[in-house]
Amino acid sequence: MKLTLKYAGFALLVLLGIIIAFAPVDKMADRNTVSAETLIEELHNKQVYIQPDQLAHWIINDDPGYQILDIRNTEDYSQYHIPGNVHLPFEKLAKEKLEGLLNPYKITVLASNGNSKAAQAWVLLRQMGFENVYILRGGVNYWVDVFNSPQKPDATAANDEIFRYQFRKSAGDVMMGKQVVEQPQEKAEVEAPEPIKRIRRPQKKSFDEGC
Amino acid sequence: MAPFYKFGFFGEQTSFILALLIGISFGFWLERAGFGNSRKLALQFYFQDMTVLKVMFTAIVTAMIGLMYLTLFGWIDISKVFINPTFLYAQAVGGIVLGIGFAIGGYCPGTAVVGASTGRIDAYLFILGALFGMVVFGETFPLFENFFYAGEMGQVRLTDIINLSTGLIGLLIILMAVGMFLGGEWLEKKFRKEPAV
Repeated sequence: MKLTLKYAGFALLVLLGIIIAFAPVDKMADRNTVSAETLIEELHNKQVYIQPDQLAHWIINDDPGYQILDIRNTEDYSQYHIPGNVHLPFEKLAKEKLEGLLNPYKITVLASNGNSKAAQAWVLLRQMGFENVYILRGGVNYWVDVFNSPQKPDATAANDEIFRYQFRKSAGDVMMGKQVVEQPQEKAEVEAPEPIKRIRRPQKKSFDEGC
Repeated sequence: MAPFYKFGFFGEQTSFILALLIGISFGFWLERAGFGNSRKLALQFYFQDMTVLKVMFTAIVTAMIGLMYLTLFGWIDISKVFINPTFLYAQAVGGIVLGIGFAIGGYCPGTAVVGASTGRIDAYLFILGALFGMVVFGETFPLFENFFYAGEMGQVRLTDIINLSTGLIGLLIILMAVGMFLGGEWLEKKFRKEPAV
């Protein structure tokens, strides 16, 4: 066999392969690659919060692309929780448990009592590799405020605000888990049924990558 | 550091321009390698011209070695690199269908576009056929929907299935590629009747 360029190339390939077989590739690949600075910057600059109204729209529309993770303790959870969610107390947030519970392709909305616990959980989840994680603004407390007793805007308020109030009022019963009873006299008060707008998801645009 | 787009080194618009440039050069080199010629492509199914096999394995091995060494130097975050999710049964059947189409038509979808860019009529017909097939598939999708997701495994790599380190699998793939190159040439010598087109 003559030593041609071809066989020299094969030899080089095999040599590169032998080096890589003994090199710690896995160790280098498994590093925690989301740095703390990036995460803090994202928390401050990027929109990681979701408004209750938007989440309510998703629930009403039966949007298949989201999941709610409730991180309050079991006592609070059994008292009230947002319809259709996954529960795991903050203390038990571990990668192994979350991987069974959450679908990594969906948007995860974190619900806590306020913002701070949820922000901590947000950092944890991002470091575990979940990418589309958002925080429910104000947590479950604010959610209950919004839908249990929405504040009536002034008569001079902008249309947007009146619409929002009507939406909150009409969605409230379902969100709070009350039995919805037909109340014909109340119907007169509602001027026009609010058209349900598809709200654009704040999901990062993911390209359909690949061939 | 890399992948550059995911780490925000450039924005969406820039990424489109880069994608266009990379795509043009991909098509150009496919054409230069002779992949715009359906006869050359079809000859591989008769073991007479194994260029496609060699080019594919060269691409696989080059990309693999590059990714592994860049990971080793800490220059690329492999977890951010997109991997197509695996649907084992659906993709196995899809591969067979694609192979049959490839052997009949002499093109795969990408090379059909390459062939069309140099004005080959069979490539235009192939693209029309492919578009027709897409419409049929799209309209009858509910029939296949269950099978479309059959054998879902998520975004897995070989290391996740056979419990070997990434580097060792790299070596095995390289040995396999060298074997494919030598085996391909052996087949060519045995079956080739006329010089490749």
